[in-house]
Amino acid sequence: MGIEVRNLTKSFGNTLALDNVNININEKQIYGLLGNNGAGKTTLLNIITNRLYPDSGKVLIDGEQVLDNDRVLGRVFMVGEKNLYPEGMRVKKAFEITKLFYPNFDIQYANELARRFELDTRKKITALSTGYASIFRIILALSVNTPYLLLDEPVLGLDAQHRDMFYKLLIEKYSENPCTIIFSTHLIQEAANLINHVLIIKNGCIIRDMPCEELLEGGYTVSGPAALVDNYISGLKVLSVNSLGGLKTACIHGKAEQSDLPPGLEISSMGLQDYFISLMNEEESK
Amino acid sequence: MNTMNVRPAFTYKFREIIKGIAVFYGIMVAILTGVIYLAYINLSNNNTTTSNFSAFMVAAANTLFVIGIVTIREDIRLMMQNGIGRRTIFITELLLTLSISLILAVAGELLIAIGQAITANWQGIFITDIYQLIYTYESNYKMSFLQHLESIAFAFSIYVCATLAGMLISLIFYRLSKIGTIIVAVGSPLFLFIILPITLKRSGAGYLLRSVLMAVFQFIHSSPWAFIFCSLLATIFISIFSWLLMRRAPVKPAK
Repeated sequence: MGIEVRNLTKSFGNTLALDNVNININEKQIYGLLGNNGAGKTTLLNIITNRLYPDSGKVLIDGEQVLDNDRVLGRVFMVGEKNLYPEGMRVKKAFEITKLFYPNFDIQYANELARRFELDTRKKITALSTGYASIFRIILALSVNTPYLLLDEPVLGLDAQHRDMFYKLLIEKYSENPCTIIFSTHLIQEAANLINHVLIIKNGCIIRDMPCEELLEGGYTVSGPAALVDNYISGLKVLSVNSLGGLKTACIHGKAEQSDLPPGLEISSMGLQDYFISLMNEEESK
Repeated sequence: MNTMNVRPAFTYKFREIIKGIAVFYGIMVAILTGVIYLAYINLSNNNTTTSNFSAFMVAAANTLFVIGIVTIREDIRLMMQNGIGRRTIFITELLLTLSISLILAVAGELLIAIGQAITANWQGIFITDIYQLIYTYESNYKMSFLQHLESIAFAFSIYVCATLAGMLISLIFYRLSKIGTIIVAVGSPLFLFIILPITLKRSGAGYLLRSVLMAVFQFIHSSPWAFIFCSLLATIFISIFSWLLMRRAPVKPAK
């Protein structure tokens, strides 16, 4: 069970947005869908939820095709960057409407979250600021209780405090009631602790699809005085290098050998964001 | 296996539209009451001014046409956000159009019948509707039960066609590119108000077109059932075209 994406291709005019994408999304895991702007993240999520039609290929959820299948679509909830609720509809009404379509939508919890995020439920959705519009969508996502939750840039325009609140609530929700979450974001560093499995997409192709831990085990970071770092990394496969004053940090592909480490250098595990940036640089240099 | 979830979609839409329909009906009741009251005052003062109320069906068709234009895009967005596929949305729109049209056709007929019953023996007031004006010119002011039923069927066919026509126009503009939108927006009135009248005045193809149109008008004028038949054909054509536009429509947020 889970989501199966098979040979998905989608073009917009001359732009190839997705190029023969194949992925398996397992149940009850949090997937991070990472990629630069225009990589195809939103297109992929829109096709999974049947908001867009692919040129070829198919999407199966729990073994069933999604195309015009309400039973399957009713098991998925996606919050995108844009509002799809009618202009003029108030937040409170939107909660009631969502409950009508998703019987497991918890209105009480949604109202409680609205209180915690200080979102006025009497306000019209279109009158909300960018940040509060994100909060509105986040509340819908956290209260809907579907087996599959797709979050496309959910923290767009949110301040640091509210982002932190959201990450905590998402983890809380996931711990209480595990579901499959696909999380697309540019704030990789912040979301890194949430993600079990990483999907990296570039120019419509999935270039990495593996558990986060496994991915990060494939490299490490070495930092210290520039001259020492330069000396240490010569001959190694360097993913990326950052300099600040006389200090340098390099991401290295492979396993670190503590015994080989000269004094004055420090080794730490590689962050997801570092890995992502170095991978993108590597891909661009090809 | 049934993969359609029509019930919540229909419930939501029905609740939304019935409010608008109730407001429209309330306004019509108020206007009719006003017309009857004015006629009563005129009658009391021996004033010979004639009052007329015959626009319910036209007003209702216009209202439904506008509802068709306004709501379809909103419905696609909202329902796709909430796990409802395009096929269900389309079926829901059809069921809703049929339900609302029937309710409005019956309610409108009831209003006219009550108005006619109240003013049956009054001078200087005519409460009628399009059906009566076109098809019952030889009968009495008050209609028979069968004529009322026929009028309901006539109104129903107009309302269904008007709502779906509004929906179709909205879908055409929803699917068209910017350039396509401009071409249709400029081309439609250009064709209807300039090219078509000029063509109709010409001989040859113009004469042929004129003859066909005249034959169609004569046919629909011959009996309400001829009109209903033509409406049904138009409804089927509009529905098929609408579905073709909708079945692969991308979900675009409101601008």
